[in-house]
Amino acid sequence: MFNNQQVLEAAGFSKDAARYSMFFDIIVVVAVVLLFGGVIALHCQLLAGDWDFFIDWRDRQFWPLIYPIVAIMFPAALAAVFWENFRLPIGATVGATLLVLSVWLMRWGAWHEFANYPFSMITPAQTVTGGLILDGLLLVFRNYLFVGIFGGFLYGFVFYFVNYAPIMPYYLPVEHMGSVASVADMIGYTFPRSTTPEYIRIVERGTLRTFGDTTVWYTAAFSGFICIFTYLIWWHMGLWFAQTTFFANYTKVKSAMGLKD
Amino acid sequence: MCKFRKFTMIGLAVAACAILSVLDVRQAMAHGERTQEPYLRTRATQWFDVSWSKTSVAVNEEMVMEAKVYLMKDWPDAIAKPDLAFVSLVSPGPVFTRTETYLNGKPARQSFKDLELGKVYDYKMIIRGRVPGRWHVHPMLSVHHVGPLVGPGEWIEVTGSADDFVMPLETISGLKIEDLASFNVANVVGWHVVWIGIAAAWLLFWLLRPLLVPRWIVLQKGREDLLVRQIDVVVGAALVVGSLSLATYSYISASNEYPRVVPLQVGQSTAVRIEQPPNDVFVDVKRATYDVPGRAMRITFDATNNGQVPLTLGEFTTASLRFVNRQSANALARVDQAFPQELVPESGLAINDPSPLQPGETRTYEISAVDVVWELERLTSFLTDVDSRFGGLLFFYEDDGKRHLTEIAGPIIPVFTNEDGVAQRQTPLETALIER
Amino acid sequence: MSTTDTLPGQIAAKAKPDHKVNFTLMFTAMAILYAIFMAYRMYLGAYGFEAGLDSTSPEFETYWGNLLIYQLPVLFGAGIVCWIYLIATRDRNLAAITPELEFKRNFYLALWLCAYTAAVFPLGYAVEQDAVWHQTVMRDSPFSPTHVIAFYAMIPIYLFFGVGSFIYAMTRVPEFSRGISFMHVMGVVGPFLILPNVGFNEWGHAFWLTEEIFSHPLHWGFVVLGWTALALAGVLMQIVMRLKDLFPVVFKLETSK
Repeated sequence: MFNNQQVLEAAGFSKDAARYSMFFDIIVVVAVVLLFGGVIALHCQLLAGDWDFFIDWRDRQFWPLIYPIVAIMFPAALAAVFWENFRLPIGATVGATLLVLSVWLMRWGAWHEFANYPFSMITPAQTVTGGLILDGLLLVFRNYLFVGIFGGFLYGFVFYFVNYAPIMPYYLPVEHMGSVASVADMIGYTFPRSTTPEYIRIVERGTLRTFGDTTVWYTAAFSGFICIFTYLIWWHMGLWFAQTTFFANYTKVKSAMGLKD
Repeated sequence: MCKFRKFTMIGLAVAACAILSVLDVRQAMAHGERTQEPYLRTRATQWFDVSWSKTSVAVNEEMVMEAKVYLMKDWPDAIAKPDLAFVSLVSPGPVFTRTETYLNGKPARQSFKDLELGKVYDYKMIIRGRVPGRWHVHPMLSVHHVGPLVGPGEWIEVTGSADDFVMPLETISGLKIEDLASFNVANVVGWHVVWIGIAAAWLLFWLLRPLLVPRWIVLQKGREDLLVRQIDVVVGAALVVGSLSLATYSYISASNEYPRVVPLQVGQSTAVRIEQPPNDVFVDVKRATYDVPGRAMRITFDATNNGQVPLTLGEFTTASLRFVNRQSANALARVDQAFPQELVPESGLAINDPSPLQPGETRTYEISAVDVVWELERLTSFLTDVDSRFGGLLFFYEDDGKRHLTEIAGPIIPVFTNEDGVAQRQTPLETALIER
Repeated sequence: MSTTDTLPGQIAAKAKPDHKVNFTLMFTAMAILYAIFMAYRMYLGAYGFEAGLDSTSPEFETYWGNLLIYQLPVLFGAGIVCWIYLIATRDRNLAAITPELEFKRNFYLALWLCAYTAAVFPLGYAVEQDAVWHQTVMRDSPFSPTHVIAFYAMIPIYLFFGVGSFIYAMTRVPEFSRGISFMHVMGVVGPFLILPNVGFNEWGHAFWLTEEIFSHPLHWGFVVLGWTALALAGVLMQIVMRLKDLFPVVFKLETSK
């Protein structure tokens, strides 16, 4: 299935060297999991957190727009680092999967265990599908520009639709005190968050309904459009951060370590 | 070695915390409202007639929290007007669930717009016990760009087992939800497991190869063909097609399963008007001081009775503190024994002339509200406000117990010492009245 | 940057130096780290709602005020002690280092960075925990229980490893001593700046002691500083490029083109 031996031979690596190389790989894999599991979650909490925290924030106009745009950033940067340097088409999937895994961990520990929020209110969204599409297309196109245009668009576009199957039952209508509410609204109402009043929800207020009485098709397309540029910009962010620039150290500092030149 | 040194020190800190942790904790009496600026608490809302139908409920058992909230006409400039508000409660997380909420008798699941200053609103919330424990619960009005405006709190005991909690619900289409807290969670987890499983397979497909240094060297040698083979590209293309197919399938199947869904509901209501309590007293504040060492608020004001019956000053309330004229039976009758006693200072309200204010009469009142509670509630930082004003409500009573409600507000001046350079404790009037 | 010409390979071959890397220290460090994080989480679970709701209360002082004032000198003090130790025990003759030792030290640098990432992950968790706090209870202090943990415990802990990795590299790894790695500076200073950025955050909240939108622009400073975590990719590349030269020498490989 793999041509590992051929690769090692081409690299001129002996068995022992390959073993140490594997140790190094393992260190880096662990570091990537820990670093980006934490940082991507932090990034999404602070840029789009509210839409992901609560089921009663998941509208059709802002949630599918804002969340994928925010969540494509690190996957794009990681894709650039791993592809350009190692020809590994895994960066986007790594970023997206780490995000959903660490967010599940945090929802469980911080929301459910600590503060008694029910899982029906706080289940996260997933962008893994988008990550897989980006990585797959990177292999096919081998060109980040095309991946950005097609993959970036698909990443933003499919977000709502792949998250719809898991959470759709939360949009079933119920009658409560003489008016209609979705189950999601009821969950938000029933389990109080004292400093998250109902009116701060930034959810849809649109008036025009053309495609099947929903704004979601526009939103998905718009999200895809922005994701194209986000992907391209963050690809370059990744490359910029992966630079190997050394500035000259001061002579006095170097001489403290016995370096003359 | 240095790492171990650090860990030893941290270990000691953790041990110290562990030792601390066996000490008993006296549960907090407040929810942070004490660090709100006093102007927010004394000049925005006044809560009164607050009641809790029970102080102990079982898991799943309902209780009612009722209150009246008055929005001050002297609403502070530093905060937004109550153009958008939400009727809520303060509790440490969803230890209670909300069943029904009403403002002025109308359902209040959503927010209200255009609340009016100078009006009393009726607050009512039905809550159910969810998590066993002893919890401090306050009624609250959230106002947009202002934040939580909190009423007095009471300890409520929730008994039973958290596992017994259920919140059943039936959808319009007839689907019976057994428990809102766990509804559909398995479906979400299932889909996430499917996608993460695919991602894990894809990642393993790449991670089971030599990764960083060898690939870098091979790439530099121009042997990209070894790193990305034809078969890899085929797998990648299949991944894209497969992902899109599964995404499409999942969307279509879910849509077919639940054809009738609604978006999130976001409308706002306008509160209905209710009959306001009578107010036959006109109040004109002459001077108000806060005596810092004496912990006393003293207010001098002219009051005119414009009504037809005599009225007795019974209570001064602000920031949920109730200074009650202990000589007025009508005022005392309004103090429910179950009401949190720490909010009803023993010293009461000292009044220079507590006799009834006759119809047509104008009288200069000197009242004093003296208690350490000003310090405890951190309301003495009148001194650090940029806008040194106080506010509150005066309750006057007719002989038959009918209550008149009058807003009182004005500038307040801090007093640190008396003329002799000695801190003022009590005026002779206060001493006499309190002793009497 | 090619550095093949700087390898003193011949000297090393005679002494048959050992290139074996010892992972025990890192595993121990990570186990202790996560024990500390678990202890913090359990402490929050026990005394968060119990004693943390009202910053004016005596129990808040006992459980959170005291924790804050004791942990700050302990955590920063531990860092400073470690950093001074690393400088004091520096390699004073890096010019004569064997390739085996340099190989090993590059691995140890990677392990330092790995421990650094292990210390950064809990910050992500702690910030989510802070979100829970702010969405649930009234903001009443810059030193709320979750802030005491997220800002004043998690940050000093990861600084220990971040700054430690930088000093380790500069005092023991020739490449990182000859030159200052731009991305290593970014990767350490960026996350460090999250701490002073708390000043901006709390200043903003003085105006905005209100309802919480967690993705409010007031919080974006943390995000942008968090992006600098990507800079560790640059350090990774610097290590990879050096290992590319060291592998053939240490393992006597044929370096055919």
